Amino acid sequence: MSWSVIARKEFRDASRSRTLWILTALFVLITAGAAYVVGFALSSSPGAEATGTTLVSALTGRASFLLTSFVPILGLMASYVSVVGERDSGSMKLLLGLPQSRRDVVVGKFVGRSAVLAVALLVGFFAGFVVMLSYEELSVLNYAVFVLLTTALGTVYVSVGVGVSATVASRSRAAASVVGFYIFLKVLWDTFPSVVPRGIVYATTGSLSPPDWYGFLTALSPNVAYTNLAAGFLERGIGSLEAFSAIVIAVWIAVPVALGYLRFRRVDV
Amino acid sequence: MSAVRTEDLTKRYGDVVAVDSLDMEVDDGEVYGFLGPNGAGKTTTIDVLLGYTYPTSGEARVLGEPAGDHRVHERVGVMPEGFGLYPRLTGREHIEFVAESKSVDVNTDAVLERVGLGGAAEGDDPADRRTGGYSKGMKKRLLLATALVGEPDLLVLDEPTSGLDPNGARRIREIVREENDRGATVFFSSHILGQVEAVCDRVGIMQEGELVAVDTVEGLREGVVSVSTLSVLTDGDGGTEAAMGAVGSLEGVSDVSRKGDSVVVSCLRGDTKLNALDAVRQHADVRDFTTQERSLDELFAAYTGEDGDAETKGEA
Repeated sequence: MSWSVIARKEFRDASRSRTLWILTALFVLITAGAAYVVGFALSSSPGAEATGTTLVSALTGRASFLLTSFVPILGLMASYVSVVGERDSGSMKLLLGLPQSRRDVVVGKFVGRSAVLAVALLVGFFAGFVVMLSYEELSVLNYAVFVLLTTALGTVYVSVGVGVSATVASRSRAAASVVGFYIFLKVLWDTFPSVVPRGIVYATTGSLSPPDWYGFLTALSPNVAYTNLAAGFLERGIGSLEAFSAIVIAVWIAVPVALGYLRFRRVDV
Repeated sequence: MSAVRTEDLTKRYGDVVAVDSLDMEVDDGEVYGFLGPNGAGKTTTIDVLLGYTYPTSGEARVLGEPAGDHRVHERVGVMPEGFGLYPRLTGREHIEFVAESKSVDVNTDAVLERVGLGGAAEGDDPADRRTGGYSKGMKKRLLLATALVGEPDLLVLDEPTSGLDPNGARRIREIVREENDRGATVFFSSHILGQVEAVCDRVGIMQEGELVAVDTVEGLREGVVSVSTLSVLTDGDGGTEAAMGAVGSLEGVSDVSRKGDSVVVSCLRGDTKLNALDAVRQHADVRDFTTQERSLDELFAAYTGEDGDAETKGEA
């Protein structure tokens, strides 16, 4: 398939980016550090039981903030220059002079950059896995599910990054757009629904416990959807909120890159 | 069948008309030089042909297929303008990427050798270095190499010689000839006529979005009015003005001007120069004279309305 040639080129190209390597190293430190802290706490409190999901619980619980902060950065960094950078440098003319279509270009970039991100995440989580093994028996299956979910979260941001990159006409605008998007989701969306709707509910009913729809509203953010899914799979079990969250993640993976393609299809490069 | 054909092709960017109702035809198997000053619309035309941009109106076809049909690029070799490569990939990886994209086998070393990027000393093969460290000339050579992969039926080269030293430019002309001998049609643009005249079967000159002339180089040369310039240095005593008047009335003189103590005459025919020299001598003392055949650059300027020869303009 012709997009796969581009995907391989993208993988090779992006995996030589120094910035990505630094971010990956940081990610290794984060997961290994989290594993160490959790493991240390576990071994120094005799009453605690080793359930085999402690690291995962820690990462999806308190540490989920770390992951939903860092994985998006990794995903966006791996992707936001991918298309517009080639328009900037002129190599897009080399690329589109080849038999691949513009759809092949966008798909190939999305797949290739997602693969780079997946490798970075696998390396990071493997480090955490190794550190954790010295403290407890880890459920490999649980851990694998968790890694898979996190990769899906990262893929959301690769989709956003490639979509933005295919839409805008300059590198700086792409950078501004993804930073804006990150802040919107992480700072505004992820906190706004937790404050304003609750305030409204409290003001109108006097109740402090959130209504049912509240969980679904916040789950529109891929970050919250991811946390829901991780907690659901590993602890609470799967319900309608988890199913909804899975759909949210799938939509977030498919739509941004598709919108980017629709724009890129007709643009003068 | 024509290798490239446009009909009433127009491309506008806002209010700016980059290409204006262009009708152009590049025959199968010819070398076509696409000339014009910077900003004349050459690159925009090529951009439309290759599907980088979309026409505002009109039609363009490449190897019989509508322009922008990416599948036809299996048979087209493209050397884009500029120096756009992947800085983190090596030269070899570029060639392999293009070959994979076109589903063809390629002898990477041979094609790099051909453009002058062959391995020199052991361990310092430019093919295995990342292109981020390439010079401009090396980038151009690699871009040409990517265009040659897979023996395309049509080569589209946009300003291939810009940024190259004279050796590199000559190598490109040799390759153009070789590719043409193999049977390929070559369509290439330049803003310097001297770079194309030696290899082109035909030349099309673009000016402000329109083709102002299409012919062989010889044909173009014959079509231009002023063919040579005579410059006569007088001693500057009074007679110079009278000499200018006399020369101006001669048949075959298209323009007379004065530059310092020199009378500068634009002549339409070779024998006009002698008559003009005689006419000057009748009125003034001549110290020296020079003649200048119209250079290709002036020829080019004559077609594009940009008279590059300051001397014939005099001090008016």
